[in-house]
Amino acid sequence: MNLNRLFILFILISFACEPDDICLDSYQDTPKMIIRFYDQDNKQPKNVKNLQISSDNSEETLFFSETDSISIPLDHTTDTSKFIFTINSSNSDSNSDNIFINYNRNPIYISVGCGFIMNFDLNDLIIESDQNNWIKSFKINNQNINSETAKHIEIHH
Amino acid sequence: MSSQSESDTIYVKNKYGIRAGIDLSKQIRMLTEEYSGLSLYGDIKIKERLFIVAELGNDQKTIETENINSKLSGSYIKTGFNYNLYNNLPGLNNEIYVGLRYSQSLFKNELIDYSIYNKDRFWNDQRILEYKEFDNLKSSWIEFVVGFNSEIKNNLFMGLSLRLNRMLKQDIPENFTNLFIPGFNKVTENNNFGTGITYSVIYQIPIIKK
Repeated sequence: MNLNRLFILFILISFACEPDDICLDSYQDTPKMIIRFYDQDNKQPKNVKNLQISSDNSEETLFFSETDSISIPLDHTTDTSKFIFTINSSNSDSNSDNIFINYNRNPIYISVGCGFIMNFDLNDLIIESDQNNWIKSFKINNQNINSETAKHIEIHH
Repeated sequence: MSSQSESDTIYVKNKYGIRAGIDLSKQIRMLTEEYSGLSLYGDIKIKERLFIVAELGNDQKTIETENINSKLSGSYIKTGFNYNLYNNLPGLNNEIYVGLRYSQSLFKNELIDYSIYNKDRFWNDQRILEYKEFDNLKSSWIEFVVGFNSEIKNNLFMGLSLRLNRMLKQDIPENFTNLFIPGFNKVTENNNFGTGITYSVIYQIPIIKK
């Protein structure tokens, strides 16, 4: 028996690779908050037009041209996300409302490749009063933001 | 098979005794990884081909992946046997062996920081610094060993072994995982197997000679 040959064989076997660090796209990432818009009077779904969403803490903006349903990401680094919701944003009759969303955060371990995702428990929503709020009222339908299958919040306008 | 018909005790020196050693692969790993550890080895020959083996050690390893930083540290003990398959010429004491170990470890898992998986890029993608410590975690596993020891000088052996580890039990921290277990090495998800390699220097304390 040749010990040298055995030695080389051992070294080769010991370099095995393990592709464990890949995050498959099929994993659900951090869920967004789903908002649906309703008419303040007849409680029927009602579209918002040219809705622009921004935040003081982000350089990004979201834009929805005409819809009664949107999903927005919450800030996973703090317990409050502040948004500026502007409707008719491209027109002269644009109207901005400030919205504060307060929640508790629950990180959930997924895998080495994906890391953690964040789930949120909604505490409350604050619509900052101004002279002309376009948002008349809201309702929390589902406090637990752990999936994107159903609405979490209704906004009446 | 060597013939021992003219059995002359001067030529046929089968050594029995206790051997003690150190696994130098740990020291080599310390040069290239964020790792520190020490592993001691001991065996006793109880039959012509059979050795009772005990290994004792500790590991401290920092795991840094794209998403998770974690540190694992703890001690382990492995006990079992080696069976020598090698037919030595008279007077030589080499081994090519197969072996089995039952291994247990007690360790600590620290989660240092992690990132949140979010395809959306609206918010800045900061890592979450949330230190968590999981103490008194236990695990046990079986190791299948193949290796060899070769006597390079009188009473001094050098050896290499490869291990295939089969996890039996591990305490998994709540809402987290063990990316490494002292003694077991890297833990992969959805897989109960791990691997190990040792590179040992072993000294024989000659107590009994037959």
